[in-house]
Amino acid sequence: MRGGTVLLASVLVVLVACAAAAAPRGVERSDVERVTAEIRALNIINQLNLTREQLERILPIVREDEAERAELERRHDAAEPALLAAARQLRAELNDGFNSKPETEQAWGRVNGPLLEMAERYAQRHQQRVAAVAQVLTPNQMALIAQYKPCVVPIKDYKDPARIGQASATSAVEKALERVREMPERMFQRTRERRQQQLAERLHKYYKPEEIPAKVQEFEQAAIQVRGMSEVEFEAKESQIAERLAPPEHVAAGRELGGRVGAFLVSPASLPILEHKREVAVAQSR
Amino acid sequence: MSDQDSLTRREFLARACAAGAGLCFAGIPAVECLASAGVPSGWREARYYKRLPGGKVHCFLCPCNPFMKVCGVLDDGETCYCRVRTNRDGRFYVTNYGRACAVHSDPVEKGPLYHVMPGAKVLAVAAPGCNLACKCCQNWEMSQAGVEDTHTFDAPPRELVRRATEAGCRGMAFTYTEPVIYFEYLVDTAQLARKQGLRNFVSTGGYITTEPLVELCKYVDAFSVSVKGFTEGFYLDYCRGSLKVVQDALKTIRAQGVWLEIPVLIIPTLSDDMAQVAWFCSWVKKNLGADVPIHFIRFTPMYLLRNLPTTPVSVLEQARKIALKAGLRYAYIGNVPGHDANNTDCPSCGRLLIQRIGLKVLRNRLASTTCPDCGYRIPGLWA
Repeated sequence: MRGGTVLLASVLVVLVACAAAAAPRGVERSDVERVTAEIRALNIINQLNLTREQLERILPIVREDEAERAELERRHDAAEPALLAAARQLRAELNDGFNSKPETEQAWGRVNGPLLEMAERYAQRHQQRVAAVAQVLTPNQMALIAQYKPCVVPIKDYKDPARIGQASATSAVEKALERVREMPERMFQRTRERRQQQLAERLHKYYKPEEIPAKVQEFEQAAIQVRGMSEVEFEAKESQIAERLAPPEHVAAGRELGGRVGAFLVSPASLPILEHKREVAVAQSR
Repeated sequence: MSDQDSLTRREFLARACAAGAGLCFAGIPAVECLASAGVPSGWREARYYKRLPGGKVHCFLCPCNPFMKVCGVLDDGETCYCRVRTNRDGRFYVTNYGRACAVHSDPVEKGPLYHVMPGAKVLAVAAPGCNLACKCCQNWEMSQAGVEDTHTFDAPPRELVRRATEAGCRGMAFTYTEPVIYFEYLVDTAQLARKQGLRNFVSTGGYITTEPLVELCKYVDAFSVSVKGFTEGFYLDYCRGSLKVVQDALKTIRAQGVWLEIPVLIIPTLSDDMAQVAWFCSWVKKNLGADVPIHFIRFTPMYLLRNLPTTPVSVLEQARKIALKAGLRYAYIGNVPGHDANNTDCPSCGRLLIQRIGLKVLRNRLASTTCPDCGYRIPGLWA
């Protein structure tokens, strides 16, 4: 019995050791981040159904952007020892006293200045490229990008209200209206202040501060209105009320839409995906 | 009818007892009185059934289903595979009368109906249940469920019509689940809607026998009959139905002169064989005519077919080319927003008539029923 236990233990030790040896080495967190970023881009690019023509217009722009970004990175890497030396010198001087020496500041500026200028130029051109890519997309593709919630594992059974024959999906506002309808009167009264406060915080993203109190009141009126409705009346009017209350899409999307197009289509993560999509499109058209 | 809908359980029981007592005095056996009083509120006696000896009933609303033990015949206490029609004491009842599971204001294009009042709002209604069991169903939470299995609420016909008028809808759309299995509710609502000047539209799988379908055609202005595949094998394996029945329904609707559009779901590996697409398009042209719009609908992984990918747009484009080559005048691509094949073009001069992005109508150049450029008549229900 005892011999058996010893044997089992030694087998387990060997198995664990083998497993440890087989584990991938050198997998860094940045690798995981890179791959997950690619998946997040992939999940929206798959939804966009870019045509071959669109891909052929977008790809040169993304390639150009990637080349400039890589060059910026290369210059940054090359300048890093000098940058580090200048930064250390600056830190040492600031550590000793209140001011640094002018020649140290100039040394820092000589190395950092060109890099900064280059980064600014790149940022400017990147914005122009994002705008150019947005020009290639249809309004519906832009709407999909605006609505997309970045995810690694795609949402299953996603209810798209714009799909033929699909029973309407429930938007965030509709869900909120449903919750407020189900609330007992006492709770509705008790949580009024907290609800309004939370709502005001959320609306900051979409409205100017002076517009928010009126909007909060509009939500409150709608809450009272839907609580008084019969179920069928609520079902019939729910989407209309939600549409009226929801922040205008162009405002909601406009603040971050450019950034989204940049992140998902004009980025290092998107380039291999777009190249692959084009290859598939070319193969299919043969 | 609507009076009874608004009865509370207490009132209903009181009235049933009073009626029962009255009938007993009149000499009716007590057993029958109890049977009628025992029917839950919201149930209605079904139509299109026959009483058989031994408390059995024979339902002939839907055609024979290969998965039923004896076709259409149900024992006492048995509920049909549609989950909403049940035999209680030798009488056949529909359990979802006036019990809606969805009521929304939708564009008519969602049907899909592209040749019907472009951009019009309709009140879309659904009650739970279905007489098919499609593995690709996108509303399976409601369709593959009985009244007790999903969220439902009281929505009597009069209330629905009132809400539709209030919301500025131009019609009622019976959709999302299978309208055939709530035939009685549909007919009552459609009749009331007509009186109020509303149009009636039905999106269905077309699994219905001829007699009730002919009756339905009297109240319905346009049908969208979804074709899920092109072979009997597909219908049997993936829908528990029969293609022949659907083809017969399509012919009946056309023969009754009701407007018809056909959405065809293209599922990768299951219904994307272009030879089958070509066969079906030729069948449509020969039996229904070249003017029936056909929509090639993009499949999205859903319900029990999540293992399959989304249909590539190129496959839908290929199917559309085949339809146009077969001589069909109006072939669309559905569920690919922004695609040019969402638009209606004049088959004669090729000019754009109705521009759509997905379900939204951006531009409608069709002021009357003819092309403004060449005068070609475009079929449909335009006003």
